Amino acid sequence: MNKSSPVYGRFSQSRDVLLAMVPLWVMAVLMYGPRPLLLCAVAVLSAWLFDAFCAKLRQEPFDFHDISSWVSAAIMTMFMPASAPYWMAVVGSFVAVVIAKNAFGGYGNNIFNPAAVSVAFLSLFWPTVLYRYPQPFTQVPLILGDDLVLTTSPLESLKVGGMPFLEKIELIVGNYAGPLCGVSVVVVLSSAVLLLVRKRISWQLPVSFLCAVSAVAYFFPRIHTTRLDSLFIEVFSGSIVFCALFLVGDPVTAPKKNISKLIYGALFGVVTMLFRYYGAYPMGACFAAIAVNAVAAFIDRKVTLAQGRYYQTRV
Amino acid sequence: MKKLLRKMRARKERVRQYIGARQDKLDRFSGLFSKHPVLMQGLAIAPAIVATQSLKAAWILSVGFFLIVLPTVLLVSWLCKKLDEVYRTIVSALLAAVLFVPVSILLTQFFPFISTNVGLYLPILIVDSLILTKCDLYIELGIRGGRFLDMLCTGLGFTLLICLLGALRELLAYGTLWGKNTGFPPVSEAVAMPFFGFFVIGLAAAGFRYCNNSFRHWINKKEEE
Repeated sequence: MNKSSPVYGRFSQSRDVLLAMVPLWVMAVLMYGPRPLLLCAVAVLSAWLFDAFCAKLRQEPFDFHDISSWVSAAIMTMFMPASAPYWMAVVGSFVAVVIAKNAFGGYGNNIFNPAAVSVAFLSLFWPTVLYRYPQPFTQVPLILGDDLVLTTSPLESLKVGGMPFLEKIELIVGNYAGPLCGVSVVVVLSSAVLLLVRKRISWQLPVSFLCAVSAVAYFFPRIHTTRLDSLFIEVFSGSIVFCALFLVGDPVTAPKKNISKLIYGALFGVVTMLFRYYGAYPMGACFAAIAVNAVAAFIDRKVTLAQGRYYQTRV
Repeated sequence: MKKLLRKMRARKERVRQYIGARQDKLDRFSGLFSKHPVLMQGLAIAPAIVATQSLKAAWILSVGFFLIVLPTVLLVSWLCKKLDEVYRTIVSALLAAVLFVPVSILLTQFFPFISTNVGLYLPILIVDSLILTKCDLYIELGIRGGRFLDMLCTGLGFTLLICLLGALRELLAYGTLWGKNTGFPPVSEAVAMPFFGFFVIGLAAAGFRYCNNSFRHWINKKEEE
């Protein structure tokens, strides 16, 4: 693609994020068979078509190099179980691309993370489908039958005040029933290396998010265990590490200044834990994303004002 | 076949010219289409979105609209012409509140569980932005005749939308209509939540505006050419 094209920046950003997700998809295929890949393909294709349709509605030419919708679709699919129906991927893509992205003005103008909005929508509509997962290393058939055994994730046990019966090593390698993004933390962190080296995300965002989540889990544990165990279980069960990179680190919806990013990441972490502790659903990050995205610009404005006053007093 | 197509085109052109020549008269009914209170002007959105979880709730709201909002607007725009805007706001709220009391008693006779159906959104009509917007429109622009027809069309437009929305949401959320089972399989109870109302109203407003703009463009095509 021509580097002087106005879409090149968007294309290269999206390409790097998708490349960073490749190890996650490889792990998902190893754990559940080819179905997660097909689910992602359905989501990506429908997101692309919806994006082209919205461009036609706006009477603008659609650049086929604009693959930003692929990223939203891929991230959204990562929050689903491997046994999610294909129509759910299409509905999620519609909500992400048409409602969360294009209704607000298209790429760069959306206030809310499209993937987070679509997962929140699917959670509200079909919680029993979204929060039931197959056991890891189960070959999930491409066409689902009635014989597939589904179970809840460790987050569900935490929600009711119980302890998940999992060894720490199982939590680290992702050997539990959970969403596709709940794979090995080591694999997720390898994606972080690529994103940080290519400067696609700022380190302030995931670091402040993880610190806030850890602090809340350590000082306010919701299970009867040691504080360190509580921290370990809360951080490594579910999609916290994945969210730190791909939801919190979204360059469009995150603030632009470094201090703002620290405040935003910390707020994101606290609100995520509040939703986890007191929300109706086990997964809190997507709802927290919607709440915190709304104040990102406000944080940026206040920090800019405060910095301006500080520099004025120094002068 | 060509003759038929020519005839249809000619008829379409005659209809376009007929409507174009009578646009002023059609504007009296604009509350139903081009000046729809919810979809085009963005008024009374809160009751339209949150309280229309069922057809019954939508019907209660629309009756409340005709019995509270319509008389308030007509009376205030007739009696308070010389009053300052600030005092007009207070008078309109007081008048709507006075009208609300008998209307609430009357509606409770027919719908005993009125507070469960519509909750806070029937009394909110007292301070709805639509009242002041319409009053200001009638007083500032000095509209005398046609006020009743305009408010009637506004009320009909509001009623049609919220009843359609309420019926759709009740059918999709619970599979019932007016509390009676229709046999339609419910999609999800989340359809009855306010956020779904926002989606539907937003999409409906976009579609409505598109249709309105296309219609206006078609009517005025010849003049522009």
